[in-house]
Amino acid sequence: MAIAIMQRLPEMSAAVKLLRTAAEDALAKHFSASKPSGFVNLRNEAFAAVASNGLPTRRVEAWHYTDLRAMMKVAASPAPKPSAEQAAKRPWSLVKGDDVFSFVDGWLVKSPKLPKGVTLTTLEEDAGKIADSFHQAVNLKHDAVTGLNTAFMTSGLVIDVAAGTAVLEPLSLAFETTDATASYARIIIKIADGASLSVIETHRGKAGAAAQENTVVEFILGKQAKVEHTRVNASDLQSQTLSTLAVSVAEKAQFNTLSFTTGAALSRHQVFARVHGDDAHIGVRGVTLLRGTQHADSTLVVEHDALNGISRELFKTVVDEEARGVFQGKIIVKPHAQKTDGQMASNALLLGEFSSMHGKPELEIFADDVVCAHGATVGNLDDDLLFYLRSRGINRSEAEALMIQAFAGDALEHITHEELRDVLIGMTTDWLKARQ
Amino acid sequence: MLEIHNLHVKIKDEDKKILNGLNLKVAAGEVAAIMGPNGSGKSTLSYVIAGKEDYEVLDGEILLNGVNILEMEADARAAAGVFLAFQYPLEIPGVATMTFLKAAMNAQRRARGEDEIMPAAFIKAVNAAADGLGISKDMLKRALNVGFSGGEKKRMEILQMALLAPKMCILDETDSGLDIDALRIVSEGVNRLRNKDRGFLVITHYQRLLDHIIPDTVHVMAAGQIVKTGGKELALELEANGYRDYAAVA
Repeated sequence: MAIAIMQRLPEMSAAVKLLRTAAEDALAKHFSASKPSGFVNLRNEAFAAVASNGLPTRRVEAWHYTDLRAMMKVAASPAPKPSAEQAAKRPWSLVKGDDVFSFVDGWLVKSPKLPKGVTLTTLEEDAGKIADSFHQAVNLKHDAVTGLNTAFMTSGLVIDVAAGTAVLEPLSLAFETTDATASYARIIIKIADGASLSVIETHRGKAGAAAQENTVVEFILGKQAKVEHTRVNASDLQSQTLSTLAVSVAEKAQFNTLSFTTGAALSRHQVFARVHGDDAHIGVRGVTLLRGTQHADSTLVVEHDALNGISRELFKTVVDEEARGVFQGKIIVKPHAQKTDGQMASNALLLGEFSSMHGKPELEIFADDVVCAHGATVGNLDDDLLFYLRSRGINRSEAEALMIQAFAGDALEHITHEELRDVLIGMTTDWLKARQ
Repeated sequence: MLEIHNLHVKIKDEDKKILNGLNLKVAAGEVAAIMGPNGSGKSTLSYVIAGKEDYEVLDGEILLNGVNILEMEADARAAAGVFLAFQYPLEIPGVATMTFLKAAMNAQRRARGEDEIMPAAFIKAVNAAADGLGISKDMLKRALNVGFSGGEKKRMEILQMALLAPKMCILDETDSGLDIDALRIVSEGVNRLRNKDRGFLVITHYQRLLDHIIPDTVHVMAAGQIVKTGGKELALELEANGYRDYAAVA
């Protein structure tokens, strides 16, 4: 049983010691059995931190609604290197062209032909460079999920985009899982001054296999760099996905990310963003469509540490049947980050009688000349709107689908890549068609 | 066309009774006006005919061409030919007007076992109807009714009516919130749709609308019943004397 058992220490009445759960035990076993390549000390350090604190529980504020310790019943063994046959399988590409970074069970099996100005460094080639790039975007040493990724990392890569390079076609990172094993990939993308790039990251897996994915993606944007990142989680409904996105944004840079989630039994997507240059723009958005007993957590922290920063956060969550959505969003405005303009909204639509949503938007403002707002709404489909549509001959399920599509569409319309936007609208339609 | 017999209706989950044995007939080709004071049940009547689920029908029947529609869902009634132009058309953010119009036309066609409309024919039909109502291309591109003025929303209702070509049109206080120009445009739009096969039920407080859409019959409604029926001159009489006389009748 993987339930938390507490034991009071007699000499410190307020302190509690947690016994290890089965999953924690398994993680320790897997770690000692692992034969890592590169930065062994860093891995040991990272694992020691996780081992001493245990997996995060609801007592940790950032994990209040997703008690990972209680929910993670098993820790799958790290995935072995994929076979040549698995590696040769055609990767999933959402847009034209399938020349992509292809990952199988967290292992990089194929790299695309890189456009001019873009270079790749892998863990095998230069472990030191990978390790040096950790925590450059945002310091994530406190984060257990990132710690596990560091400890178990199989693929690590740094993608450099040279200053002034405008990469026209999106760069795709396609992640595929093939078994009930654990994958740990780490991608660091550095976009130098004035460069621009769009990244599409996709996750899917073998049907019925309870894969466990832990992916960390770090973006480091130089001055006036521009990045659009879209993440699609269409993992199998048995799987568990933990994903971390760390972003640092320099002067006049623009970063937009959208996570689109329909997959995984348990998912947690955490975004840590830091605006450290003046006049920068950051957009963090999400569309999450849940049913069955899915649990999906979107947690984000956006820190403004410079003047005139603009941040826009918009999360749309549709929860059907007995599924559960979580949104935790925090905008921090540091004392000198004057003229920050931050707007955060989480809107949830509950379709089932037993659907639930937990929302916690927060603002922490230490500057006195800022415009910041947050809002969280949870609602059902509006009966009057439904009647209006139905009075025109549109049947109930089609009317509901139109409204849900519109609800999610608010966030999707920010994607500038038209083909990609249409694909995600299509995926929303497919999700709706599968509604009971 | 439309026949209502002894209709008794209350609000669901409340004891409040709104319609008390209402009887009404609208023949094909007829424009019938219903006038009455606030709270007489006019809007409820329109919603009950269209199939809104907030009401409970205690007794009576509503026949459309001889078929009782009370057991039908709202969308089935629409496919059968009922159209309600709303007093307050709803804004549906995110649903593009054209998407909505096409969904509605095709849903009704499918329900009647007809083929879906071809894209070119659809656009042609929308443009033709929009021109007559002064609806701009820009309005058609926007989300349904979002950011439209009151007059624009009412014109959009008439556009839908024109495209869906219903048998029985119900206009619920279509004149409310309209200035003189908009009232004329909307009325002309309605008048163009008048034909020998189509019935209209025009619900209004004021005689003003009936200067533009000239009714064949005028019914006075009070306390959930039709209390008097006459020709178009009855509207003028009401305008002069108010509804005081009829409150007593009910």
